Parts: sequence; C-alpha cells; structure tokens
Amino acid sequence: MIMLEGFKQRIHYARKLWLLQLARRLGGPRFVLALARLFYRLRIDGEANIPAQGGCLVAFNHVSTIADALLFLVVQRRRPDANLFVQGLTGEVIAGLLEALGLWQGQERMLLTDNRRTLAAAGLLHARQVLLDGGCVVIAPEGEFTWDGRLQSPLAAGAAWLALRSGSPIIPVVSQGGYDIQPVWQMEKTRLTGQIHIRAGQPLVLGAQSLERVTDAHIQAANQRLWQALAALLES
Amino acid sequence: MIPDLLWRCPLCQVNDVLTHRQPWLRPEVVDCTACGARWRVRRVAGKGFYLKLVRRGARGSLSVGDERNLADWYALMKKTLRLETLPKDDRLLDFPLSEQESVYLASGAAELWAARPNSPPGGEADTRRVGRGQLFLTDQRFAWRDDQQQLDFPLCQVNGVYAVVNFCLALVVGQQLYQVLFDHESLLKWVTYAASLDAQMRTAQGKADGGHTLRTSHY
Repeated sequence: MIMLEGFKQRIHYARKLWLLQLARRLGGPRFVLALARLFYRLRIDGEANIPAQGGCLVAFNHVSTIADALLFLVVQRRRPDANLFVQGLTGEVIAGLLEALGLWQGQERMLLTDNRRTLAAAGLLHARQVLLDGGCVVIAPEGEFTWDGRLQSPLAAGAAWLALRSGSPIIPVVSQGGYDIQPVWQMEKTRLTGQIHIRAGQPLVLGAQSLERVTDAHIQAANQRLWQALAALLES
Repeated sequence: MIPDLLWRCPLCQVNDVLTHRQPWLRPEVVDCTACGARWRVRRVAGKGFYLKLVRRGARGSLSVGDERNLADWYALMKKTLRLETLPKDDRLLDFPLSEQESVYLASGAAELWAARPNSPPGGEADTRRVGRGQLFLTDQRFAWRDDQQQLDFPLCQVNGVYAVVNFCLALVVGQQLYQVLFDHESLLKWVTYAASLDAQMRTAQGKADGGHTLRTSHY
C-alpha cells in the first residue's frame, strides 16, 4: 500500500534493527524473551489459553511495536503457524521488526489489508480461509495504535466479522506497559526499561457455527463482548 | 512528541502552541507558548505518562500541582474543542476560496504521495511522489497546493482520513489513496477536524444515520 523507502521515519527503524539482528544471531526468540525479562520485567500469564491447534483468532490491544512483537512471539510459541493480519504500512514496520527478531522469513505469514474498503475484502477472505483450514490469525481489533494509551472504542469490524463468519473462538490477549516504552507519538524512541505484562484470557465463542450473513447488529454485539473481554483483562 | 497528541492547549484552548522539551538530566517539560503554562512529564513504568501542572498560565482555572494521566489531559483537551475558521491572512493568499467557503486548517510544508487506484495492498512500486506543498481543509474540501499542481478533494468524495502511526495522514478519496507527510503537524488534529466537520455537515443536512460516511482514525 505505502512505500516506506524514502520516508524519513524509516531511517529510525533501520538504525534500530541492527540491534535486533544481533539479538537474533545470539539466540533468536528465546534470547529476545530473556532480554525482555531483563529489561522490561516481562511477565506472561494465561499462555495455555491459546489453543495449540484448531482455528482460532487471537485479538490483541495495539500499544507499541515492541509490546506487539513480544506478544506475537508469545503466541507463536504456542502456535508456530500464526498469521498476522495487518494494514499495509503498519505491516511493513512490524514485518521488519519480526524478521529482525527471527520470527519469520519474508512476509508469507502476513495477511495484508487496506483502508480502502473494497480492497480490505481480499485480506478478510484470505484470513477467513486460514481460520476455516484450522489456522491461527493474530489481529488487532482496534485497527491502529492507541494514541493515549487506552483501549480504543469502537473496535473495527474485521475481528468480529472473521469470528462470526468462521465460527472460530477469539482468544483475547493484552499487553500492558508497552505504551510508556514506545508511545505512538514518539515511535522513533524506544526506552530500554519498563514493565510489560502479557495476559491471555479465556476463549470467547461468539457462535457455535459460522454465520452465513453478518449484519451490522451482529458486528456491534460481537465487538461489545470482545471489547469487554479485552478491558477486563487489562483491569485484572 | 506529546504535542502530536495534545495539539491544543487544554488550558488556553489555542491550537499548535505546546512544545515538548527533553533536556539532559532534567525532567521533561511541556510548555504552552500562548498562555505560559508549564507541565512536568513523569513516566511511570508500566502505567504510562503523568503531566503535572507546575506553572499556571494566563488562562485556565486549574491550580499548580494538578497531576493527571496523559490520557486525562487529552480528554480535557477534547472537551475544549471548537471548530474555528482561520483568519484570511498571508498563509491563504494563494488559495482562492469559493463564496461562503471557510478554511479550518492550513498546514506547513508537506509532501504528497499517491498510490495507483486499486493497487493491491503492499505494492511498493505503485506509490509515487506528487510534490511538496501545503494541505488545506475547508468546510467543502481538502485542497493540495504546490508549485505545479492544484488538487481538490470534495469532502463528499473523501471516504477515509487516517493517522498512519505517526508517519503520515492517509486520505482515501474514492478508491484512490493519498499520503501526506507533514514536516510539523499533529495528525490527530487533522483527523479530529475532518471527523468533526463531517459530523457537523451531516447534522446540518439531517443525515445523521445515512448518506456518505467518512471513516477516520480514533481520536
């Protein structure tokens, strides 16, 4: 969707990636998690709530690239087949980070979507097929990073639509503490201290079977349940 | 920086007047260049940022020592929001307006990039640089002006206005995607004004539940 090459912000990321690439060479994801425990006092709860097999949608709160990458790493420990559902530009940034972390090579596990509505459909249909085939899709239902650190409302329609149209359970997973490490208004700066707490909640089943037709009312009701599940995890 | 979020002083209610400074070995501060208020920024690991008012400005009823989470200051700022038109000064000299048209925002220098219509997501080669100029928002359109081009995007054709991380403003016009890279502008300010103008127009036209829908980032 968007070309990042030539954008001044890309420079900041490029400079940071060599550090991550070094971490990858030294030990890969395990080493990164160990570093996160050291620098960010990383705690992980409820990891077993992420099913080891079968179609599932992991819905997470979108706080910062560092917190999101750690969260994805935790999900990938349980589900090596996890796919990330992202928008074009954000996807390129996150993909660069995840590649540097050694979490994947290339972008084959990235399901791209787009702000332009007709083009969003292709990404959604692809993600739905992944779920129907028993795969795992990781999605940020807020649709974009939080600016003020709070869980945003209303949620975008994608996560609810995917869950309703595939009949897959949603696993709410939240990270807390990523905002003050790298707030969206200061993405070029990553603080090396902090506290990150990742929690996975109980699966949320919106319906035993997939719906043939999803209405706005279905989406609204599903989003309300999902938002409450994410908010409850953040407050617990 | 914090003025990307707090793009308006929550005390004196003037746009684009906050500055965020991070001096070495001293606390970070946010200053208002309009009313003189000053906040000290405190980061609490795992909890976020807190701003404490350490100097009262010429306006506002809050007392020195008032400390709140950044999100609470942002909520306070949003309560003060009013759509104000810009005075017709030097910035608007080269920007002819139609009758009864009002300008709400005029950016500083910016770059405009355009994606080819209906290009698939992730297609890097499909983006081209349009030019370097200025973006305007009026009650009728987004307008781009540079040395070579004049592009107008009527609000009724703009389907989406998004802040893409803190990189750029994405405008979805029909199925065409544009990205505006500002030198110094709060993306949230543009999103907020666009959404508020859209809501105002819908109310004026009595189309609260129907008609053209503008989608925006959360603000």
